[in-house]
Amino acid sequence: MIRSFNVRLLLPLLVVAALLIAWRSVARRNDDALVVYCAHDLMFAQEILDDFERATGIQVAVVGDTEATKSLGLVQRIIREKRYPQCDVFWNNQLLGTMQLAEEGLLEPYMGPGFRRIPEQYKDRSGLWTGFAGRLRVWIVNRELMEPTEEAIAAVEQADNLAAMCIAQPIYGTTLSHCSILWERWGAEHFQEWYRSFQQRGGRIVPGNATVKNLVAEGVCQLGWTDTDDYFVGRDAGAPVELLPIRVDGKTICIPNSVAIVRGTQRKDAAQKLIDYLLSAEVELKLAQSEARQIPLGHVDEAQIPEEVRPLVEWAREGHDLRTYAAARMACLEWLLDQP
Amino acid sequence: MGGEQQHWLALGCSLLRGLLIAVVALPIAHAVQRQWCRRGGIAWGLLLLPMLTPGLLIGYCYRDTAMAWIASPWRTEMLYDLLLLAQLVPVAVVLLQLSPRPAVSPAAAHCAELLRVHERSSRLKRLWWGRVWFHARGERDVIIAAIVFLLAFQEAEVASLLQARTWTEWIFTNQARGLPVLNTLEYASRAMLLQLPVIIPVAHWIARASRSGNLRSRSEFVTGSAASISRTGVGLWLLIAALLVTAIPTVQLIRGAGTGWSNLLDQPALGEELGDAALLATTVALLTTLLCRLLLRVSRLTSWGICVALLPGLLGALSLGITLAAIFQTDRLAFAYDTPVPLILGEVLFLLPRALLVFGLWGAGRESAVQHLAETLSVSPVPQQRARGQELSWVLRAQIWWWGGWLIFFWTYFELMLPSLLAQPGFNPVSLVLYNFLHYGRINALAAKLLCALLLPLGAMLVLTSLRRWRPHRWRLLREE
Repeated sequence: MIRSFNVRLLLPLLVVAALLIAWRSVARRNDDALVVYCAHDLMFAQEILDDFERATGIQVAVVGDTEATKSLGLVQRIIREKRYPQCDVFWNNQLLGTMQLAEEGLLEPYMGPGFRRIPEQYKDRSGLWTGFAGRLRVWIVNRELMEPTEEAIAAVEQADNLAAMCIAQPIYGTTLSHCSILWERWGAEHFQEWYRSFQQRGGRIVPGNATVKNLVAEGVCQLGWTDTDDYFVGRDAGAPVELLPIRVDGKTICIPNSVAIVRGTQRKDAAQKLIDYLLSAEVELKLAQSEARQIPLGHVDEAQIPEEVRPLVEWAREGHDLRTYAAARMACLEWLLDQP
Repeated sequence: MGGEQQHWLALGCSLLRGLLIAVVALPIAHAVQRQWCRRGGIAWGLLLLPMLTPGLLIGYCYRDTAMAWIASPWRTEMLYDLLLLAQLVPVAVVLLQLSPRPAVSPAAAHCAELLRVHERSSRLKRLWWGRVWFHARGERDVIIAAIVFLLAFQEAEVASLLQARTWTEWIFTNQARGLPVLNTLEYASRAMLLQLPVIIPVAHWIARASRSGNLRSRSEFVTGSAASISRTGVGLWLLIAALLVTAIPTVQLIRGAGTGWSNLLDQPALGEELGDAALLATTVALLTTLLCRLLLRVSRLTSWGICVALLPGLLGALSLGITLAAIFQTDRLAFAYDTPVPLILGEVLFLLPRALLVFGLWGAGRESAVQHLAETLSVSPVPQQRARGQELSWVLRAQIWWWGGWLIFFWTYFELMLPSLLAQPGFNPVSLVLYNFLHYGRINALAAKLLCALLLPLGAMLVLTSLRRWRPHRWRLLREE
């Protein structure tokens, strides 16, 4: 009886004690850690942040983004947490959300050595955010279904049936940036007409750029809008795809990663060190050499840029200045949200 | 179509789908239980596979198919419905299998049926017969249908990946567009209200059953009209379900995993991610099980009391998560925001409705004379009697909590939305990382990691369940009897 009683009492106690110890160790994980909200591919980001930890001894706790929260999860989370901020540094894989945070006064300015090496058009004038390592908006074309030329693309665009073309939902991410530029350069009326016509002619609107790449790679569609990193995922998997840069009024669309310090951080020194590290030539080169082939925006040793990224660097220099499209983005988004 | 109309349309679709799946799943489950569940381990394995396949694996496999059908949404709808049905039929079978025998035996029900046929009965007699039928069969079926409805109505992951028209997907999309917390809650409360007519009668039944403490044994294949589906039909259905939900996605997974191991080996964080998921799932399973045990044992607990306990979970994971995040950002509770408390609380509240329904249906809270006798026997000074008593206690009571606990463990382990909203920085359950990989198209590494994530809980469940049986001393005593 006593033995049975002891075992019955001891086992739950041991389990509870083990759980408490485990949670205690989890809770202490970010005691001194720099908290980074990272809307970037964790497979690359983690490696870079691990290198930073090794180089500086500053511990980093990462919060990643997921498919189900549609890329905007972390921006919304920073907004929700504005009274008691948890995030020290926000590393976004695009500009839109970061610009929104800057407009809402949730970012802290910083203009360190990293800021100074990035060209003017890719950073906020007051240092609230800085862009680095960009992606281009491109046409992805299935070369087995059509010629990867500008003339062939124009012909498909003019066709009565657009079922062969797909784009990602324009209310998010890089496709929203793209549409904002069209809104501004074409004028609101022309853009609205084009968008309605695109839908009426059977153009496909899918959840994300990765899906656009999949549909074109598998031959369900002939062509679509996507980003260079998604294109390279398809090409590396052996899909018969080609890219051509998308140009609006002769200029390309290059969308950089962006990094910013969140207002209210208690670890400002560490945050600044991380920002300088992320904006360094070393990190831009690492991202250029990664599977995503991101485009260095600041000066780097050109010999170390991979062959296939070099033309992208040239195209990125011809890019639109995205900072000038903030107002267009709001107007465009509001209109798009009312569309079916 | 405006946002408001789209919301109502999504709600309507979810409601119809949930009801349809509940109605269709039940006769299939009866037929499966009657004709399949006596066959032993392999048959049970084939049956349970679709239930244990995580939504991520299914969504990841059929996402591109659904996108290719984007011009004909009815095809995507059919695919989604079929996948849901294939996943939920095994849930209904397990619930049937472990539910107590009805208060009115099949023989008594048959006699009542004969009386009804032979006597041209009055309205009163028809009512009496209706009550007999309800206690013989309807009561249990209604609750199982309610649980299946609840699971179908709240499904979010596969819907999100397939872009199916559901209220959960509508709320995700609009929250990402920046819908304020109060509006999110308003929309979620409409979904909650739609679930209430289903939940209130069930809560009432659970409260009544847990108070009555009737002596009931586990179901012994006493189901009714299952003959309408033949044995071949049942076998065919199980095969299609296992192929569609488990085999095809697994083949795709293993194909991808082959090239993904090298990527995986570069990531030392895998162990920590698996550990975080297991820690969260174990804690939530224990707490939810304890809470259910408490709720089902409070003798004066009314059905309204149970309803109140169930309400937060009916909001859905996203709305519940956003609400808790807002509550823990207020001045009084902000000290706990950066701790595991909001996440654990959110998971427990979210899973409580389904856990309580499952345990309530299985009669987990009821005390019976047989259980009492088995408990008494299990502390007998005679070793053989003690061993026999312990085994009986396991069969009568403990195994319900054990398997129910594992069910909650699996639900928590692969749940995504609450960790993505409430997990403290640095706490990365593997489901979060898997979805990050999916988001950025890291398909090969995703496949390898998902395989590891699947093997860990399955392995742990098998090992721990076998450990319970591995007591050489006790088995020797039982054999000597």
